[in-house]
Amino acid sequence: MLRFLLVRFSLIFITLAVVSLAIFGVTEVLPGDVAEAILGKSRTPGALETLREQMGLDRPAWQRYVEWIFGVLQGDLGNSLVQDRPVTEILGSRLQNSLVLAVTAFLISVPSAILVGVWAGVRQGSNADHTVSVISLVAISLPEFVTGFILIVIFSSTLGWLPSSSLVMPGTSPLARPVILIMPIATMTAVLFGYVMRMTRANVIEALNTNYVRTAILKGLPRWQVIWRHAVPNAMLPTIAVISINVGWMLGGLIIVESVFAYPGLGLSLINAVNRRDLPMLQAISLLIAATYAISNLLADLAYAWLNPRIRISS
Amino acid sequence: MNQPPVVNQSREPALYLNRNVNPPLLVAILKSGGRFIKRYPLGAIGGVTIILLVLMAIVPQLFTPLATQTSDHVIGVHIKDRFLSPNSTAWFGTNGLGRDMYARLIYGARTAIMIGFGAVLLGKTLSTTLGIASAFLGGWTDVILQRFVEVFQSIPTILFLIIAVVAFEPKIPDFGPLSSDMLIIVICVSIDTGFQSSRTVRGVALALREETYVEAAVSLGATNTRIMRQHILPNLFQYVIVSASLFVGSAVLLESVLSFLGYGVQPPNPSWGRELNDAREELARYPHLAFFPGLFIFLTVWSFNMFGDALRDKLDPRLRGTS
Repeated sequence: MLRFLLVRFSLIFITLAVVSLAIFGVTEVLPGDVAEAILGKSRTPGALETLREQMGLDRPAWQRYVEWIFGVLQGDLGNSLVQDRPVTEILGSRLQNSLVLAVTAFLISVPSAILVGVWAGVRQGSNADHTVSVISLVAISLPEFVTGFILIVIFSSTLGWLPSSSLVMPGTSPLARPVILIMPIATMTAVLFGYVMRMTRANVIEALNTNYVRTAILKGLPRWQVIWRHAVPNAMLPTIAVISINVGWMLGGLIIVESVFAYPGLGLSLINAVNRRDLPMLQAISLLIAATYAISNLLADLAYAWLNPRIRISS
Repeated sequence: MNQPPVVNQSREPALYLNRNVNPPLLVAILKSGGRFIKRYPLGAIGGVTIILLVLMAIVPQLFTPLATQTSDHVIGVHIKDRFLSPNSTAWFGTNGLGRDMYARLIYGARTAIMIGFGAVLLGKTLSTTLGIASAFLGGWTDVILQRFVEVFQSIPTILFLIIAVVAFEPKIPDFGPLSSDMLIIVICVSIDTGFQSSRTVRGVALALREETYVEAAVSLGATNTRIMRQHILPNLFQYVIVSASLFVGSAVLLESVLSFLGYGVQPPNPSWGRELNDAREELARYPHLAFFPGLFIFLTVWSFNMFGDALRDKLDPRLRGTS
């Protein structure tokens, strides 16, 4: 087990190194740089050069990359070129805000999707099953920004119950005003719920058709025990794979949802960093997102091994 | 009595004798189409919507009286017609520049369909090639390709797309009907899905390699190329068709997401995602500006999902439930 973890962690480390190199390479070819973005249309060649020199943009790319990597290893992600503050200081609260959103959405959607999926799967073909299937299909075909707009039009402009944008005052936590979190969380929950529910349902149906379930029924086990002890654990294995893939979609969805509701999280910072060519910010956010994704994949593999005795016992 | 049994005297194999029993092609297509509609009604609705969308993309003039994408009411500015509600001339109302929303959405279908099909064609070709190469060449090719796959899998698609599209769009020329802003989306989406889904293709190809007919071909001395072309590709084809039909919806969705965030299709090219982005400012007062583009995106993605699902169940029930 320890060896497995060590191998996985070193793989994550290598992946992150490659990701950082790739992002650095790509940002090098981004048209225009932060100096142009700051000075805007009124720039003169002289002012542009001075500003680049001040920001250290005139040195070769590999030199800046090596310096940056050494900084990262010591926990220093550099200064934002636009705000002239340490990136870690700016991103700390942003990361918290995003985590509040993502974790809540995850904790609501995944367990409920699994419950509903099992519930629909054991009733395959019934009216309840059809209704749930149609709803989940609609949910996965609605992109986050459409769902978000529908919610805004209904609950904000028509009913006036919820604020249409989820601005958070700097220095305060979004949890201080939970009402702004309702619509972003609902939007994120919808898509994830649809995917996980569909996957669970399909796998439960498949598991119910196996020989071991038939044996369990024939030896007289109560129905709930057949479902929850024999069918569901086996149905969960492929579902977990789907959930871990969906974490990637969810991190992408975060960018959209935060943009729709003007919620100050990592996603909104990412868009600002791209638009203003703020490379240290962009690098740091990309690395954070890639690291989150890699760690969630590792957790998914651990859950997979824990649920699957064939893997658990052999290691 | 004792007549000898009737033997087939002709030199043709028996199979050919049934030549005229099969119905003509058109009837066969209609018949299997009818069965498809009966067994998969939702998939059939999806299929009809897809045909409509493709028609919209090829001959938009069928759907709107405004003859071209550059007609005055599609890209012109009409200050006195701003923010009209849906009415008998402008069915979906007009936007902040007085442009006809209905016509703009009809012309947006071409963008969505070209990018959707383009990305699927290029992406699935890439993933099939990479997957087969990885499975059959093995060794270092496999190791290196799989590390690339892992890098792509560890970067969320939208993050990759935003950065890559912004970085490379100015370096790309126009290509046929695709302008550079559309082409770069096609290329980036293809590269992402090409690497990511090549792993599944590799898995399927590895499984196929263990089949007895491949073993037979190997023992008869067939070369790697011949085995790939004659035995693996045809059997992989069903899997590729199904995953391709399911991916068109995702590609359309990714285009609209990018355009919504402002990185995708650039004006004056019409795009549903862009229309939605333009609608945000006035969402509270003019929700119809967001409603119709949202509806078009939803219907397109839903139709491709439904059709792909039905196709998967029909072609290969073993794949049911996988995405």
